[in-house]
Amino acid sequence: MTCLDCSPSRLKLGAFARKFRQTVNLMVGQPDYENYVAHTARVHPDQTPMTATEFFRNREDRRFGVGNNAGFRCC
Amino acid sequence: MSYAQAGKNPALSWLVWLTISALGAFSLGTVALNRGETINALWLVTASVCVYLVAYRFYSKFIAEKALGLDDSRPTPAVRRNDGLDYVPTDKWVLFGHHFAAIAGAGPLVGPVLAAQMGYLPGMLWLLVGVVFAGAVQDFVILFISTRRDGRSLGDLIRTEMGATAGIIAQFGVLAIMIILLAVLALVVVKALAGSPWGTFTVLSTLPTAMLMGLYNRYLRPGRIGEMSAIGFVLLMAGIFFGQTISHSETLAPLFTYKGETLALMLIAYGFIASVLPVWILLAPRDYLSTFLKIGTICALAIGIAFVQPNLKMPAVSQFIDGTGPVFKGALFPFLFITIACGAVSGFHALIASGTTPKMIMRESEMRFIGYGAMLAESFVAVMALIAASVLDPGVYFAMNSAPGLIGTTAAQAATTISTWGFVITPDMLTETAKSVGEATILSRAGGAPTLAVGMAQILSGFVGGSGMTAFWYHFAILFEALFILTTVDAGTRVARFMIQDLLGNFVPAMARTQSWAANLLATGLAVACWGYFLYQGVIDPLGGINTLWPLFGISNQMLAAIALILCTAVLFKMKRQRYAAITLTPTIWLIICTLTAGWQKLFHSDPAIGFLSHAAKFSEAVAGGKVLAPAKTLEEMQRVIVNDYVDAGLTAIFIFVVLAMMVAGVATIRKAMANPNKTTRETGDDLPGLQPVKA
Repeated sequence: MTCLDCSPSRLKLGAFARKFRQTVNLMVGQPDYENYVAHTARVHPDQTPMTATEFFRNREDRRFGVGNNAGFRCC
Repeated sequence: MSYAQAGKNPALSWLVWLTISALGAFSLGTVALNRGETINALWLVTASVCVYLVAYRFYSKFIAEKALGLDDSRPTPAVRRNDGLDYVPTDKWVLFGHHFAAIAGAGPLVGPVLAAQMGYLPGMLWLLVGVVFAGAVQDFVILFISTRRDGRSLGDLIRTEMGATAGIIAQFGVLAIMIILLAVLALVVVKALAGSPWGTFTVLSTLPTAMLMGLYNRYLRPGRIGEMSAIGFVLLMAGIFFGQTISHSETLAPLFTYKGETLALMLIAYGFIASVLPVWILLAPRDYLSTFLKIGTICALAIGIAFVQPNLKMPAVSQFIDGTGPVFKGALFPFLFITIACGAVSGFHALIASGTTPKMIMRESEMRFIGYGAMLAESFVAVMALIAASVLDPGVYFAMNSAPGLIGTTAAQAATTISTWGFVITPDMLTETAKSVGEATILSRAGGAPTLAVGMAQILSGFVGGSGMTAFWYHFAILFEALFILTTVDAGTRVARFMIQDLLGNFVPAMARTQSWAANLLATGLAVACWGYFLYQGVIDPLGGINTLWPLFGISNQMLAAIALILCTAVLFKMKRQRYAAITLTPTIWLIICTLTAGWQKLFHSDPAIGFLSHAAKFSEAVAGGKVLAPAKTLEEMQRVIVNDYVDAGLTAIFIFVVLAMMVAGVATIRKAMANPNKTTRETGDDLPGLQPVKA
């Protein structure tokens, strides 16, 4: 894909926005989906990764699911 | 490579740090030595920020490099076990957000508000000293220990490093703390909502809001957290605005006006239902909303204080350091250090630092920023809460936080009583304040949340909206606290349920089956019954309830911190790094002294307002003489007060036992480690090819 405006400041802003989105998502226990897909493609090329929705639900269940520390937050 | 990013120009670096240190020292001096006149909140902010910067730059660096020997050439669990799900190497800023959102809760907002009765200075000093030498150290070292062991949990770590018995005792202690925590947080909500139709309506409106968000996220646009939260936020604001209409309506207001007892029963029922429902419908969406609201409000408060620059009206040190204060009884030592738990040092963080965070650390050196740094940020939240409580007129502060048994139930009585304490206030000022925040009365709204809300409303309305918005900001602040406390209540009930199933599973294997509905309902019922008991007891306690429960919570939280720090110390010895043991041993000893003294006084103090047993004795004596003492109205109620006293005393005794048992286990572990000439700790990754052995 060609980049219409690849000035450094534009790239910086894009990277910042991406990090901001990741931060907001991880605050509520959702890791980065794109990273997960890339990881699966790299390490388990034979497996089909979960769809974004499946991934979301999988992580939501994990956060509040079974286990002593699951879904735990501080006072 | 050394991760200490030494400044490019050492001379300049020294100059900068010298300036920060001098500025910090000067601000602290101004705060500490200021007498007689009011002081601007900015002095407290400046002093705190400078202390945090210096502590982070020097002390945490020393811990990271010398004591722990963080080593970026060691692959972290996130790198070794990367699965894109639980174990993910994560950018340190992103992970900081995750960790901070998990550790920041209601604790650092409530404790400092209660402690403000002794003046702002003692609380502020403990917040700074505590976080630098105890709280941040604990979070950091536990994060380190867990990361070096594949992100194992605190209970697991104690079991493997200190033995099975210590593990079970700790597990039991954590459950007891959990119960008290849930009860006291629920009590804070009840105290804030009792007799307030506006607040009650707003909080109730979050239930359909959360369910709508849940359905939206489940069926319409899965995974769109941003959209969902934006919708939720708009509905929340609508709830606050509509709540005002409700509170002014003569037909609707009574529908949302409840007594504390009713609210407590509603909360207990709610806790049960919410924790057995599928998480996506209520728990998860509300968690998203409350997390973002929490972070947003903390930022807004920081900006508000910076812009408004309010003056503190509370004296630096009040006469109540002698232990006779109306908010909670007990002298400065040990009760200040118990009352302000979160913000200075919080044992709960040990559970977070050994939870999800260690599984996402990308490089070992980044633990310093995330473990130590995030705790400094939490301490700053506590300092802001202290400021918000101290900008209030002291008369208003004491009117809000004293029990009706002390100040009576009318503005006139309250004003007279409080003025005799030396904090001059008129009945008009009390009713005016109540009116300005849209409430019928502000008397005896103990629990910290309403006080913080009035303080925040004063600061934020000076920033946005002026005095016309005070009532809105007050209810916004109440909603914000209630929202994340309720999230903690149902998430915590779930956690307590799993803990109970886990513990009982040791004896009755069927109980451990988390898929079994019968086991689920039974364990959830047990969890709810436990915290519900303490909640109800707190609500009907005419001394305020917070009086009794907050110290118990503080003791238990500091006790958990002591346990975590004992583990840290034991591990340092096992690593043969005992040269640096003082880093964790000093706060351990301090916390043990504080919890044991406070526990002992809560049990045996001769003042019935402090000691549970002398309170029980006083009531038993009266019963024997056929007399009924206030607050009880019948002999039956007298009996109930006595039973409650014994239950509280029993719980305190359990806490003391847990601390002592962990101390013994810690000493035994350390002796064993010292008897062995070799390193006795085993970290995952030690045997990885190509990895340098850790230099002792």
